[in-house]
Amino acid sequence: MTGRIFEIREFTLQDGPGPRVTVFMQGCPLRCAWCHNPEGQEFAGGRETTDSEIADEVMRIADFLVMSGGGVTLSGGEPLAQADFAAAIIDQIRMREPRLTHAVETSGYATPEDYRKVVSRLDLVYQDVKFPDLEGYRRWTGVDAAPVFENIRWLKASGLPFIARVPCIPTVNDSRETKDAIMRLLDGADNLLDVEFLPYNPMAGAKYARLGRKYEPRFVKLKS
Amino acid sequence: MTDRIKSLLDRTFDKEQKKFRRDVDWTALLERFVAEGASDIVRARKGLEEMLKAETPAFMDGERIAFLRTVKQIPELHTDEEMNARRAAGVAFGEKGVIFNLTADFAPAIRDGLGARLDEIAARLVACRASGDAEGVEFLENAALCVEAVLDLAGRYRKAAEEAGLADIAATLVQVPLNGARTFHEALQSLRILHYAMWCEGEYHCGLGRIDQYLYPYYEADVEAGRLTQETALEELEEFFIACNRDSDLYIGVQQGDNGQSVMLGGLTRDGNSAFNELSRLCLKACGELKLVDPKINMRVDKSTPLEIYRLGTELTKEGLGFPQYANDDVVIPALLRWGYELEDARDYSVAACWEFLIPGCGMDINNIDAVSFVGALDAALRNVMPSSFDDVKRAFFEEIQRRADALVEKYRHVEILPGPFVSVISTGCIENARDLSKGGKYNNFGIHGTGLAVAVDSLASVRELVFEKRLVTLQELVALLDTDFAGRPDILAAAKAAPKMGNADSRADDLAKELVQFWGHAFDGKRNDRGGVFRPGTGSAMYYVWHAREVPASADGRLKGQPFSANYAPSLDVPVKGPVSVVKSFTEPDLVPVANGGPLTIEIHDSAFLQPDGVDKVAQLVKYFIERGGHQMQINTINRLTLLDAQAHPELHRHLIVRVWGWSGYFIELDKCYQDQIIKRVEL
Repeated sequence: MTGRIFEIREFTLQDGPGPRVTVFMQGCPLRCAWCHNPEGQEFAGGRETTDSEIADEVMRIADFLVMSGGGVTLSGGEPLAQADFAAAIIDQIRMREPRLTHAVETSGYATPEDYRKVVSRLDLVYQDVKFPDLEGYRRWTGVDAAPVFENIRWLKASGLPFIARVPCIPTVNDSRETKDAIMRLLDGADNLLDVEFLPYNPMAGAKYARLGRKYEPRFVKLKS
Repeated sequence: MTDRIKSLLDRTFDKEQKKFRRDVDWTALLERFVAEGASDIVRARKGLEEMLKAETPAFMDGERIAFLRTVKQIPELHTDEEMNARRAAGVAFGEKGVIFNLTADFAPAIRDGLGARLDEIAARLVACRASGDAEGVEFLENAALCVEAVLDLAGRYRKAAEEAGLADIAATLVQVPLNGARTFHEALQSLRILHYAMWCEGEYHCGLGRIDQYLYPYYEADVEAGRLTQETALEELEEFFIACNRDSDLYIGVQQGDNGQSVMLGGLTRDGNSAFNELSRLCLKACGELKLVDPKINMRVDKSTPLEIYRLGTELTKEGLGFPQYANDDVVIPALLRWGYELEDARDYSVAACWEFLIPGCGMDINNIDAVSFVGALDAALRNVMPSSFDDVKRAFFEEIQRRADALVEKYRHVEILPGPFVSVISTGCIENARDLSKGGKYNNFGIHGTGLAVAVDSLASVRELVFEKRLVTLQELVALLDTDFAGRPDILAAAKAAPKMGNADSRADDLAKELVQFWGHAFDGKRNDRGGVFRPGTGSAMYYVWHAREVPASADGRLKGQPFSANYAPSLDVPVKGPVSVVKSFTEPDLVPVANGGPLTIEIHDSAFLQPDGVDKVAQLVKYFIERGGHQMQINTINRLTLLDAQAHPELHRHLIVRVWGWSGYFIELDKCYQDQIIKRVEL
């Protein structure tokens, strides 16, 4: 099966248990104002590849990943925007080396069908929670996030281990009230392993210039 | 860290010790040597005597381990004219000619005291006089005077300590170095004096060796007797380690920090048991707390080493110290056996100074006597071959390497080393044989570096692809392009850069590396120097990665003229590698036993790797993977390119920033710019 990715990075250390290979999948339906991987936003960008080629790349160093308890993480972009491809990658790698663990980093913006198809194959989910409500998503990411909340509800009840990731953007969602609301949203899930509040990456702007785009984080202006 | 140690640390870092120093002009002494036509050994002895006489006992507030260099210059023993005349007469010397790159046999001298050595010398003198061994008599007489000179200074230190009310130090110096050390503290003081005296004699790159082994008996006895706890032992070690940073700016090296004060931890005992002990742990802990460039930590590991020990080492990597450097017993011990070392000695190996393996006390090996430039050899081969196939190119390349190796064998068949009577006293067998160490030790092998290995492999891969597979250019056209930095042919430059590269776990490059390493590893088989020693090829570069790169034009891998090679055993600069796992995989493909003279895989890891607590675990896993795959030696730099750039712009804000250079850690801001720039260019993984 074919799909689009923009990078495969080995020895990623913050994307799950053990050292990992992270596959950055191309295309994202969200337009977060602070996105630090803007090169992954356009669905037409990146390069076309196959699940088999990705598995080849991973298998080159599978002995190390097995020895160190690592695995593969699908990131992006939004990996669930190519749900069938994501599932194919996981299946292909698992068929060749069942001892590797699998994770995704997702915004959760996907149809429930796509979400469940991929997530149910995983050992660990990094679930982004950017806002506790639809309004925040609409204003800062440009989408109607109803599916995100539905998928989070399903995930909490699924029993699948997950870590919530909250990108903390100055003046946007870093207030005490917003964080408390996010914690309330996550409350009651035994399968929630951790909540990671990620600091805003001020270097993100550098990548936009390289893409010939302007970095206009409205929130930075708000701050001043 | 105790307040006393913190205070010593801060003041040493601020170079308070400099206030005790003075300049001494030794010209008159040298003129006297020349006028008298003094022999080498007399010069060595008198030089040490005069140096130590000129030294003034000095103490830093709060210290308990004494000895400080107060005279900046050590005496020159020979004029340039004298040395050049000898070279012109066909004598080869290693570097400056004196004994260097050596770890002495500190253990017996600490255990028995120098007094015991004086007794032995006296006994041997009687025998040598009786048998009419004039050379033996000369050596022993001068060696005894050297020991007396060291003891004399120790005596003056003791008196000065008494006068200054430093009863502790005075009491310690009553015992050592004249008598054997009875406690951990006395052992450290004795070691400090012996090591200090070597530098004063003119030896340089003086390693410290396996301190966790030879100091362990004192540690164990003290702990048993209730005289020492882990905490107080740590404090003692920390003070000793700080002392290693006092005089180091006076030590001879190519760059600041290149002083060879290496320590080797762990590994095997001489009878083959695991040697990693409580003291090894304390040494690692002390370094982690002090965050100084000296001593430079090496760790011996093997495939049975548990992850926990790698983790302890990685804690130092995380601090950005550039060490530990790891050495793999599974590769190094077989390599030493292959070169003729006895099993017990092989198990006792340390590094001489940077990374060349040496048996402390019984090695008079010159581990870095010269280097072959692989890139230079390939460049020459490409110009002299009319190949009909890629195999012809490879053959011509290997023939050129062989030619250069043979030339070095010829050049260094007869090497003279200037004597070091004091270091001979603290080496095995010299008194017994009544010969200076410079005349030969138990082992007298010469190490030869091989530089630019990755650039040469990448260039070969590029020649194969561009000339023989894709047929984009002929070999003659390609060679002409090398002389013009690919002028007018950006397409060929791009194709060269896109050709397979070592470090990507790509067999199209890695297979060539295997062949090259295999050939290099056997290029000296059967060759001996006139001391009976063999030649040990290695994958190190020392400073040649900068020097050799200046001698060649652009290379076929797309490296332009003037761009440096990678240091040691590492991917070429500017090569987009997939990541450190691929690098480890590529660089452990060759059989490294035949090239284990020393020369580590050097990788750079971004400091964000350690943002999360389990980063230590994950990096430790990478090292373990390297060792399990048969890697010989590895060092890791934890760096952040932006930090380095900022340090170039604002050095005053980065005084503590440490980097691994080629086989040692130094302060970034103290390096010459070409070495700084090379580090910035290294691939960040």
